[in-house]
Amino acid sequence: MARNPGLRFQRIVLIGTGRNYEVSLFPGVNIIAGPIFTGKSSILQLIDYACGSNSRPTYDEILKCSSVLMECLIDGEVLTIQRSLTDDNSTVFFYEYGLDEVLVGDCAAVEIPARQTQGQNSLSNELMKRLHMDNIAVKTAPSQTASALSTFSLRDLFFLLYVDQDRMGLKKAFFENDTFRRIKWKAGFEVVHYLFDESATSLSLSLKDAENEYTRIETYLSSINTFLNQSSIPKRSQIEQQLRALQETQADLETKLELSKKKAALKLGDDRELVRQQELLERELWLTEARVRETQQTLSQLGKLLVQYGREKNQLEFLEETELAISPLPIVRCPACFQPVQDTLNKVNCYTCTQPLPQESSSVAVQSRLRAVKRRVKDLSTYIGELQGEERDLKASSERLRRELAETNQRVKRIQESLIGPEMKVTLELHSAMNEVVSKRSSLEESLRLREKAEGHDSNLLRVKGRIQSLKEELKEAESKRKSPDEVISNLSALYADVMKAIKFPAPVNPHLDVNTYLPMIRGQVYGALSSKGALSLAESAWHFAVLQYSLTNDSLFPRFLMLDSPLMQVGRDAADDEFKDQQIVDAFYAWLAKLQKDHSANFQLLIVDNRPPQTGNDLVTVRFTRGLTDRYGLIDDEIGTIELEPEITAAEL
Amino acid sequence: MKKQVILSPSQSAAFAMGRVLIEFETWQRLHGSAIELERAILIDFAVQHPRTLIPIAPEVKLVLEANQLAKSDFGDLFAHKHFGGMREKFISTLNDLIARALVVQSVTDEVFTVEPTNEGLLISNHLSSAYSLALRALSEVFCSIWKRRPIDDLVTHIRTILPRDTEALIALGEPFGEWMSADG
Repeated sequence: MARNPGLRFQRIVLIGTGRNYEVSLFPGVNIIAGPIFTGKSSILQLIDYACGSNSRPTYDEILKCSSVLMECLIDGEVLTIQRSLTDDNSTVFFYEYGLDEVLVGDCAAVEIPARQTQGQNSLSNELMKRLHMDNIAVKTAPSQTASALSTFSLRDLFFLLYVDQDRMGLKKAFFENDTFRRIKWKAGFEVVHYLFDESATSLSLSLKDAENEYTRIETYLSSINTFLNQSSIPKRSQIEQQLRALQETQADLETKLELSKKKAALKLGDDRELVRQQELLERELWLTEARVRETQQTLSQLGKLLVQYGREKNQLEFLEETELAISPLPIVRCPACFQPVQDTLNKVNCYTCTQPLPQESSSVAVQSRLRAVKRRVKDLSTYIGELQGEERDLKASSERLRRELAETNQRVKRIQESLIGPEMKVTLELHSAMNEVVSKRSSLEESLRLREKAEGHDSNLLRVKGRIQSLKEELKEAESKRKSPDEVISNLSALYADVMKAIKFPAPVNPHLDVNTYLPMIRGQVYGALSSKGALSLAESAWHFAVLQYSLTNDSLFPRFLMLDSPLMQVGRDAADDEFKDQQIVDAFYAWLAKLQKDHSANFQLLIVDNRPPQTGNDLVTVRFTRGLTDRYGLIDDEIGTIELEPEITAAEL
Repeated sequence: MKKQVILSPSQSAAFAMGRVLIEFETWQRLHGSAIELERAILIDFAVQHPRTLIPIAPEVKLVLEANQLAKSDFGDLFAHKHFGGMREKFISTLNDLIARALVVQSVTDEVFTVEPTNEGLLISNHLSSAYSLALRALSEVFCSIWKRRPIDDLVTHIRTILPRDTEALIALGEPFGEWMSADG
């Protein structure tokens, strides 16, 4: 364990129009004193805003300024944060330099989100890293064993560091009405006092994952089981039993089927030869009929050719006789002019018209040709005759084969019907039964797979349940090993009691911190039971002083920095409650502060806003606004306004 | 297809002269008179393409069957074409017959007519082959049924029933095998 390096704010500068407004702060107690409306609370608000708060001071005077720069010191490192005042800018400029260098404009800045942002660097990351409080995961629902986690941020820390005047004096000043902030406040308290256990957080996350998985499997299993029940699927043992029975049945059927086939084969025996003969006859018939068709086609074509040759023969015979009868006849007249032809040796041309006279010539030896044609006709006729004989024979064969085939078909049919038929019937029935068994078996196997799947998920569920149980036990053990808050709370309670006594809280009966809620208890009741605002302010302030004081002398991650706005409201002579009208309480308060300053001056920083600190506290005042024309009027010291001073605030008091 | 036989001009002329002489002789025998040149041309065409003219001369069908001329051949394929050139061919054949003094022509009532000479009749009667008998039978049919038909009507009638070449080819049926077309 170690101590926090500490957080200090040194200077605040508001960038105004034409000029800047600066406030310097110091280690130790810083009383910021002055009348109302001078900007005292604004100083604390500006520090809060620069550190990422969504609320910025909205006073007109401040809004005339463009931005706020804040110089802080962490572990010897000077840092400057600049944030705009003119719009709701969620980013800051972060300088690893002092404010003077930044004002000169000679250094580079990184623009980063003011608040923690997942996946990005932020001001929270930068400062928490330097305060040794980075990457701490806290539960968002700590009352649940399994809870989601979020990273402890600067804003979460500020719930402990800053009590503004709206919170001060409330009956529920520790976010009892705000669950989210209450959780963060409590987590912050545990973190700074080393009461927070990271391993328990990790186990918690694992437990949450395991519970989610359990829910998922349970839902899925439920849907499977619903389906199985609605589909009336039997239990696994029943399915397996039915499957075994079906397997036996199937084996039995296979044996019978085999036997039936053998029987049929044996009965067919010699008749198998008959079936072969049937096939041969069919083939032979087919071939014979094909030859018949071919022969007929050939005969048809040959017939046509025969006709052609016959006609040629006749024509050649006619030509022969006309050649013999007409060709030898002399030309007695010219065929062109019909003039008689002179009976001379030269009978080539007509004497009258000189046209050529017909001459004898034979390109075709008619007789030889005629002989050839006659021979061809004869051969053709002979061949046609042979083909016709062949056709007759083929037709006769075809007819014979057809008869034989018909007889064979009849015999085969008789055998099939009388001998094979019954056996075939048995075989068919066996096949049908076999198909049914196979189908049932397939359906049962599918059902078995579904059951096995459901059982698989059952065992998964048991396994996850076991894991959940194991994680819970581990978590319990981790939590038991965690540092006991009793010692811390006991120490804090002692300090709290001392403070309450020192500041002269009226009748501080048994002031302590509740070990579970960490809230201040007094007079046997939680602080909220106190009736007056003055009592509440004092009790709340004393609690914060105890925490601050604890961090100064013990191992603590508390950054030894605290801001309290008006802790003495309704205390002193203006108090409404007579019990707290005693000015001695105010004096005692400041006496305690002086002692704290004296004992630990450089090791902390405490900023307190007080309208009217007593004279005994003057040494602790580091910022004083007067509304006076000679001293600093206020934070924006050239905005003097027109408000009348209250009569009791006199120059003597200032 | 069977190989085509090419005849010499004189052989072709003799073939045609014999056919036409038979036609003249038949007309002479049946009607005892000369035949009009135009009518003779038409009868000659009809004798050459008898199957084509069955639609207007059904009597021809029996003669064709009796003389084994019922099977169609490629001659019918060109009937349409031959009809266009039949006059020129007939005149040429007629001139050859006149040149040999087998036929004489004359003009009767401003109509050209032709008739065979005695020698022509003699030679015609000597033609007695089977083809000659078929020609004579066909000539008798056409000489009988077309004796008094007006020639213009005959021309129109014939022209309308002449088949187109492609239709005739389709009607012939399957082609012959190659080996059948080889000449022995």
